[in-house]
Amino acid sequence: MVDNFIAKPVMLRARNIQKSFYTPSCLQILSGVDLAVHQGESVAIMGRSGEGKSTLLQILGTLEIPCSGELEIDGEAVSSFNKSRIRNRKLGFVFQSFHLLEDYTALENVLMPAKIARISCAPNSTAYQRACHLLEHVGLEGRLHFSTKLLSGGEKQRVAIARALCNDPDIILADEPSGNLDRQTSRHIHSLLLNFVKEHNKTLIVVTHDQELAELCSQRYRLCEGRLVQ
Amino acid sequence: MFELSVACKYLIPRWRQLSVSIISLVSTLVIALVVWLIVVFFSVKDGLENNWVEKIVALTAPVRVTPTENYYRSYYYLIDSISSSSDYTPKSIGEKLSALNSDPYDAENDEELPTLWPEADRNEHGELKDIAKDVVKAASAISGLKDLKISDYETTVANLKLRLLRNHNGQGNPSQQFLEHAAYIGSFDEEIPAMAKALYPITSADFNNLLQMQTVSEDNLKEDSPSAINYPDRAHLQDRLKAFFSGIDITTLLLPSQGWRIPYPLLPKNVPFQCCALFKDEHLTRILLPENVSDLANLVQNYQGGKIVGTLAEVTFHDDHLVLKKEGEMAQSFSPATPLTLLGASPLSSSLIESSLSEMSRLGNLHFEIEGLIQRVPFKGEIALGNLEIGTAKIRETHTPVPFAHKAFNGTGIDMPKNSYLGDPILLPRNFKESGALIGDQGYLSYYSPTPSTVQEQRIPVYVAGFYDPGIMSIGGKYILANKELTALIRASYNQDDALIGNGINIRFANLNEVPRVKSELQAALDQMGISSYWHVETYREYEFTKDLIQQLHSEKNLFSLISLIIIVVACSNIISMLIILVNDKKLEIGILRSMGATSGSIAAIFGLCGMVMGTLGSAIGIIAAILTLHNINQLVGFISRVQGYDLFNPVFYGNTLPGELSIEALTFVMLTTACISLLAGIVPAVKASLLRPSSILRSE
Repeated sequence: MVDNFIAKPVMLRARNIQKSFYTPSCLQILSGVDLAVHQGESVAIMGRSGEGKSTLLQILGTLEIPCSGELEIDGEAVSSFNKSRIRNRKLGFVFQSFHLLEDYTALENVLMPAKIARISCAPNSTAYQRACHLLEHVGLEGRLHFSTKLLSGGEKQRVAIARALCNDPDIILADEPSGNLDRQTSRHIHSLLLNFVKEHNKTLIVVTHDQELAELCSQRYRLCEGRLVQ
Repeated sequence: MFELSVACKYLIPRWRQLSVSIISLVSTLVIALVVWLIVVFFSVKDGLENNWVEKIVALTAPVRVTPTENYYRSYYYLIDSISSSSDYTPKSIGEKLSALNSDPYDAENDEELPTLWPEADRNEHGELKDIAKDVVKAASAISGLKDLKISDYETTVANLKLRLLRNHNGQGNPSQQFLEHAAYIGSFDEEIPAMAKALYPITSADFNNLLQMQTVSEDNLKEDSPSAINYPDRAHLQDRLKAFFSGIDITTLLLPSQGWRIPYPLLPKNVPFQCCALFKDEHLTRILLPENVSDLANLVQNYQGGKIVGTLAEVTFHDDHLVLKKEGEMAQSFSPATPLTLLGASPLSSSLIESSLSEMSRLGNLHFEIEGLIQRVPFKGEIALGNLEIGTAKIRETHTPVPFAHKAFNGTGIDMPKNSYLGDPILLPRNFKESGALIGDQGYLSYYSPTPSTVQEQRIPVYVAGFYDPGIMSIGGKYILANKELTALIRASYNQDDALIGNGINIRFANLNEVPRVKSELQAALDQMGISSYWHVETYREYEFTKDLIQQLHSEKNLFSLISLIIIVVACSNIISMLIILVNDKKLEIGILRSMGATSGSIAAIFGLCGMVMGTLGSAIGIIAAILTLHNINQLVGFISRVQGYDLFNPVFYGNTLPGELSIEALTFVMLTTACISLLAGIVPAVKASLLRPSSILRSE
């Protein structure tokens, strides 16, 4: 099993990531996080509230800038020049609060990453077909043109998952993906995410309190006093 | 474009973002209002300016070449004064241009040249340079002007005295007044196409006056203040009227406002008409036939309680009697000699019976075939002109000369033929028309001509052939246009160095944008010919009497442009506040878009475009409103004038109608300025949005 992982390329590597907040006293959240995640791996990061799990995920997702440390995604060192492109092409985010664009329909939300990438989203385009397929895959084929305001929490999160997968990213970063959902819906969301990762050989990094979800992941870490421990 | 689609989405009014929606709506409407105001204002202003400039150019020329002092001191000019072949008289430029010989001096017959005589300017062959004809040659060689016309002009001064005869043919109270005015006399070039635009169309009052003036003899016209009105004899009058009607066709006749006593034979027979019968002591005295039956009640009302009593009745005309039937009474017959007055009828279609010209002894005897309506029933027949007036008339298709100025038949300018009875034609500026002068009024131009022993007053009979609008030119009210011969005659009596008179060459063409090129090419050609010291080349912007005005118009334009810019800036400043609120409202969306890979530049572009879309939308609404307003500007101005009780724009300065053409210059200015300023207004909020950190937004949400 270990040999199998070693043979796969490292999709995300973090070295000595440190992060402090000045509030105004210095509060060190991360004090040297090292992490290497391989292709096809699913990693769960757990920890107590306030330990810095979401901050770490945002740093791994290039949304937050670490105070020090290095981050490589798919062998490419992250800098301020390529962050937006990496986010758009290589990363997909799933948030606890879904973070859908309210003025748009489910389909428009899913197509947004493609629009940002200047990919044609005309009804006959590949991106459009893929977005429809993704929504179908998450069981929302009947909600394509629904305003996201009209969707339930579970449906919203499924739209968010479809959106995260729109540009076919290598890594999916999920921050408490089922934090706002009931048990049954949570399980459905978990299986959706993990099945997709397995089927398409993608990488998943998920921050969660949910032991059940963590158990389903291939790697589990706990953030403790600013460091990751297995 | 992703940024534009998001920007448009943000600008759609939503209940959820009410404050942003209201501010964006108000901002857009304010921009629309400002754009509307500026486009309408500038379009009307540009139109008025173009009209004014057109009129200035119509009276002068886009480019003029005038002689300098060097010219008047030159051998070329002075030599005529000692040459017998020139009658020892200096020639005007027009005379120089038409002279066969450039150098009239004959060394054998003429006196010897004085010792301090200027040196003759000769060409390489030793011939005297014809510096006037050379100017025409140089101007003719200017390329690219299809409608180039070159002609000399003369301006002089004289005193105009007009005799205004009114109502001398037994209609109304006859009066005689005199209108005296010292004026500039400018030579009139019939081929100026622009002049046709400045010419006022002839009115019905003018036609009537012209016709009346055919009946007045001009033999005592040159008297100081002729008290007697002399009339030509019958044969002479007939000749005059034949000449008058050979070019003019009278198409309608106006009925007197107080009513027209209609001849009995004209009345439609055996048709009942509603009328007001007037009785005095129970005897029928008159029958009033109003055109509109609805006026009957008022008529009857007017004749109640007096000696004459009006009664509603029905009248039917028969060949030898008329039958009147009052309501509830038996019908009664009356003599056809009973006076019948037609009230409020429309003008009569008319056609002159030519044979009556040979039989008439006074104007009222002229006979016309007429057609008209009484209470919608047609009638026709033959009538004498009597006290009827001309309503409308037209120039006959035979194009026989008529005694008033009108657009030329060949379309090149205006025709103003001399009339052998009335004298030399002159065109007067608008203010004479406002003083009561009419086309056809006669008078004389007086000037003083020096003789060897004394100075004599000369008087030349003239008549008013038309009126023109001089625009706002400072000397416009004093500038009379007369034919070249007349101007040359008067000018010849003055010294050439008199500051009041002018002489030069007009270079005319329609496209005023070519003026700078024409001036520089002409100046270069004169330099090359070595005659530039004799001539001064001026454009219409540089004439002494137009310079100040044109500069003032230009300054006003710059000032109004600056004010407009400030107004647009103020209008667009609303965009800044609206966009700052929008950025705050859309913080989460900014974070989400950033998490999906939108760059900070894209985020800035979204909000920058929001500003630009608002500016463009506001402009579009404003421009559409401006086009609609300009299309109906005169109705709008008329309405406001009626509401306030006096003219919104004084016709003296602005003309009877305002120009309603959209100014492309104003449109371009407003569109570019609004787009740029609204884009600039979007920059501050856009930069603010682009600097937001996605992690802090997503964390806080």
